[in-house]
Amino acid sequence: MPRRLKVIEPGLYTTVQDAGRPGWLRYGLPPGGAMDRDAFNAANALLGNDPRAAVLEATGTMPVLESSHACRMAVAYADGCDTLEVGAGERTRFGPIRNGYRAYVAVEGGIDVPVVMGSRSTYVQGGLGGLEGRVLRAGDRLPVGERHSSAAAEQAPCPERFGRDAVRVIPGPEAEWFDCGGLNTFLTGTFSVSARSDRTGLRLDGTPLTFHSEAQMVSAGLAFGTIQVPPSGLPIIMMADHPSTGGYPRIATVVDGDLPLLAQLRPGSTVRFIEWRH
Amino acid sequence: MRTIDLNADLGELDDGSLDAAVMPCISSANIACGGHAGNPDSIRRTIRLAKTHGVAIGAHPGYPDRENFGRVSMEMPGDGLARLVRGQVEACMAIAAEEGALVRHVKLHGALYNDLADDYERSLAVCSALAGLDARLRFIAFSNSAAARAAEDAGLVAVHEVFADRAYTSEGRLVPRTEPHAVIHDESVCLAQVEMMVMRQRVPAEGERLLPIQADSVCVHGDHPSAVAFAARLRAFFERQRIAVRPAGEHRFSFDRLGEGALLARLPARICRSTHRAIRALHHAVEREGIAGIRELVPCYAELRIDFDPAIVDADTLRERVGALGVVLDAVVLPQPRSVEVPVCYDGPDLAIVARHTGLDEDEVVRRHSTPGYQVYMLGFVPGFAYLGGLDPRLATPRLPTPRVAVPAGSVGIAGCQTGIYPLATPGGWNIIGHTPLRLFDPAAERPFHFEPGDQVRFVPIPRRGDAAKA
Repeated sequence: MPRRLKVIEPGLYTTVQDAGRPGWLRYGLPPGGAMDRDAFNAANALLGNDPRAAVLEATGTMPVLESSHACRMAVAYADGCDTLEVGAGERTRFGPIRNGYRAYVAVEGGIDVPVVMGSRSTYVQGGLGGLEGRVLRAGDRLPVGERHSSAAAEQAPCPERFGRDAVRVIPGPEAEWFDCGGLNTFLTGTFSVSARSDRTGLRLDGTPLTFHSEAQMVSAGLAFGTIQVPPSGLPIIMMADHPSTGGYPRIATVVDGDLPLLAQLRPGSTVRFIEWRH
Repeated sequence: MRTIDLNADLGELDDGSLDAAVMPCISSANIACGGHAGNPDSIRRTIRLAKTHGVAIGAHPGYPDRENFGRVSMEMPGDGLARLVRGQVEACMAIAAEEGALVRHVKLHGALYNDLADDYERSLAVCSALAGLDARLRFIAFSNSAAARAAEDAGLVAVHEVFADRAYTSEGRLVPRTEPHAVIHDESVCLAQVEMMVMRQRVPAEGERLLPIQADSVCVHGDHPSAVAFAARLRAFFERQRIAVRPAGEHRFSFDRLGEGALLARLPARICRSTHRAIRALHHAVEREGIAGIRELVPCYAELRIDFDPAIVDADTLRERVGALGVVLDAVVLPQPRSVEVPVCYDGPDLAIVARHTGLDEDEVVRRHSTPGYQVYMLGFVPGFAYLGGLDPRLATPRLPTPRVAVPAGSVGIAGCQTGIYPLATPGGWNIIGHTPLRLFDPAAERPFHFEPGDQVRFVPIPRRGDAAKA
């Protein structure tokens, strides 16, 4: 009998994600994949899964799942990890997301939805990957892969990253367009995460950044972590499902190691930026 | 570093004494080549002088009318003009070759320059003939003019020229010399105008307006001692502002970081064929170089994004290696672009809006949309969306006042001076003039995307529903 996870309650916004779909940027396809790569890796490592195995990314609230078979599962939060044994037909009871905003649920063998263009990640805007290219709903049944019996579980590498409230940035190509000594306004302010944030981008509220708009900007490249400033002056940080190009000045890009920190920012929480000299 | 070109018309006077005075101030010399002025001796003498000063050598063809110094219009059709200009430029090229020099640019003279500035068709005929001589030629033309556009369309590099001592109309044209305020005599005002044009790409125009302008090259005069003195002051001014005076259209890349794992090789932000060709050439050269650690190359309008693995190659090494490739781009032989035909059924709900806005009938909108060859400058925004260059400017139509909530995949639209095809059903404000049955993005296909950057695209009309019944 095929192994399945049944979705009893989907949670606020739960999708299938893996390490993403790199290599298609020049066609306009974003990299996608887990927003918090550290937690994603931790969840798979706890079970000895293939590091590329697909997991569930829960946002805000946890899903309730029912397994067709007895198995081990792991969940990685912003601030810690758990493993649990689930019996056949038993419903999961994951602890809630307390600190942070996203949690990753791995199952032995990984979520085995079809690979599309090199990845199982769900890209909702493009309607591809994951389960039918969409957010999970109650009643969905997710195929589960074969367990690799030889794989030994690793020690959980749950990262200790909280206690820091500033994310490191590298100044962007249009940083000099901004007033008051370039990056200074941006680097001295505190911003809060808007409720209109999603896997595409984190929208920030705060003191608007003013810049010279006379210079010409033509559509140019964006990366996971690039911070664009539209005419409103309120920055938008590009996240995993970001558009590959944009037409607003790029003030800075967040360093790769701090992207998980951003992925765990709940709407309403605050963030500061510091320049990273490398 | 910012750069600016200073160009002057030389080899026009008998003794050439002023040429020697102005040459150290400029970066591009336009050499009269036998039309309105000049002969083989003056051409050779001026080429030698330019070589000595490291100034770019250009041909300066004009109407064959020495009596009026090429300042009177002559009625000539496009093909006649093309032959005339080609002949004069070839004469200059032959002498340059004997002197071991290369003609880098062409600037038309006097009445010929003015007559063609707003004449796209005849400019295209002239520029196509020049591209046949040497596709690497730069063409100095009045900023934002039809002639500059024609040069780009013919495959040349357009160099947009501005004037320090002439007043501009609210349409961005020169105030005719018949007006009392046409020429600016106050040098400090001239300097302020140049500063505004070069630093901010704006020009003060009649009606106290500031118009956007592209300033690649400033015209200076070499026909009077006071003009030569002004050229020297202009050069000193640029040096104080740390603006390098050098020939335009050289495509010097600057480099920036986009986070830890991406390097940007950038050109001035422009949407045009010559910039696109330079980005494509760099893309091709980097690909061929096979530098370890590069993950992906992403071309945009005016930058090549190089994604790399910092564990394998560091940014400084990459910058050095790519920078070295960037200086020899003229030598890169580009592979022939793919030709892609897109069948379009012109039955869109906004065809009538475009027709009304442009004052053309619907059939003419369709004809003009399906006539030119378009180029895929880049893909982005949503997966598979191609930014196309080449829309007939007559078809430019503003976006819909209220965007639609859902535009079906395959819709072909016009927004401003852009045209494109929606690969996915998304909200959108473009004027939809038709649809294509092609799937531009099919994740299950072996090649999921229909377009590649650099493709040449043509729209082929297919029958509308009901057309077959009528026929």
